Amino acid sequence: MTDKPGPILGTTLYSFTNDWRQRLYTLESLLEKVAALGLGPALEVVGFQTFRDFPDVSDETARHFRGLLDRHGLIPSCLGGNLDVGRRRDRLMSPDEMQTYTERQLISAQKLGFPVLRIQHSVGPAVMERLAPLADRFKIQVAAELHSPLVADHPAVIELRECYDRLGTPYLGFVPDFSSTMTAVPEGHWSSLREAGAPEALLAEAKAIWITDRPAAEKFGALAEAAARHGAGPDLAGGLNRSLTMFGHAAVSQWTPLLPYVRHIHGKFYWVEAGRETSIPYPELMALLKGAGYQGTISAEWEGHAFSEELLGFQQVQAWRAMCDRLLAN
Amino acid sequence: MGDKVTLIEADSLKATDGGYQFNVRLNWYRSLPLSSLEKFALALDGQPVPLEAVRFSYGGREYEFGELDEQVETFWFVQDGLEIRVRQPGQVRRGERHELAVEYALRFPYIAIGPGRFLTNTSRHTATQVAG
Repeated sequence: MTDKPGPILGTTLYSFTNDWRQRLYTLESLLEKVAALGLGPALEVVGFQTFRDFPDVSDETARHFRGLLDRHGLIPSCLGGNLDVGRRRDRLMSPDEMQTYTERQLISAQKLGFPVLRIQHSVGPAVMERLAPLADRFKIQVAAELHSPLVADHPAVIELRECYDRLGTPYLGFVPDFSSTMTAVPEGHWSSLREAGAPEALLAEAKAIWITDRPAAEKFGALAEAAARHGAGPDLAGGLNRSLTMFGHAAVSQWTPLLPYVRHIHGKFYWVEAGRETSIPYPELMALLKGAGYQGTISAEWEGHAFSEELLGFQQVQAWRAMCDRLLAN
Repeated sequence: MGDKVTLIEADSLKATDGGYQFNVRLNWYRSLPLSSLEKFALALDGQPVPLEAVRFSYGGREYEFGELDEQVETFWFVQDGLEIRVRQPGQVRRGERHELAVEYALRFPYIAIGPGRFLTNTSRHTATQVAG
């Protein structure tokens, strides 16, 4: 077997959302810590989290950021962009506005040195096609993020794949997220529902509904029925719905048809303990990526901050990294 | 170690000439346009404050609640407080202790949950502070 280079690991600063919101770090000190702990080299940021002047970063912001990455030996992997189609209360963005809003972020990606711009899949094939010329010119991939329930055989994903194939450009793609293929809902999610007043019997029913392979619409229906029967209010019902929207239960094999369009992956995780992610099948995922010869980047994307304000990001990303290094070395 | 981020920023209540002011934090991981603030309700010492008496100050500009809808290009940065200025002369004096209760709703304009509908989170916080 030839010694092919494997995936390039790194992290997204999104993993350190709690530390960032508590103003414990500046961009300078955060990148310094990421590098000092050996969590690079690939470095991803959410534009609207990290830069005050996003979506239009200034030349000064870009120069400063590139200088920091150079100093710490980090390489830019993916810029998280956002398509705020609902920014007006009275109407959605028009296709022209969607194009302009995304192009501004693409220009920022180019200034900052990122090879991939993540955007929501709601961009759709028609606007994606309009973005292709600038993506080609910059040689930056505009990539639709695929969260639960968006997997390879989802109609919205098939539509985008057909668009990419027809245009034949490598600069349109996907950023898939490991949360589409989970084996369980993270315990932290159930704990937060428990704190919001969910009775144990309702949680048990929700777990049983989640684990089935019934169509999503049926699962939402069953969950709503259970919530109503247990007298759950709107806040709790919304939290229960997130069990289905945040955590997907698709088969790991759904990843294979996507890989030709993938340069960056969100290594989503919630809790790594004793070298194991408790709700995401990392051994299978890493074996699949290694076997397929994937050489793109993967970010450690700790999302435990959705359930807790505790400062666990660095500890968890270190644990994730040790786990992935071990799995890829096997 | 850091303190938990509270919706009403700790120690931010100040008496002003026309009333008082304090800061609220964004309850999300990324900056959002000010137009994402869907609902805002304030009570001082248990008394609801009319929204007409409230101004929202960010980035050196001041807005009425009804003007926020148009602020689609002003982004409330995740590390910043939004300054809430209330015109209620004499209600809060320096050194006095008061209870503030805030409820607001944020629309996440990139997370669609149905045709033309977006995920909207309501947050609430009550805090007692001594006015600076």
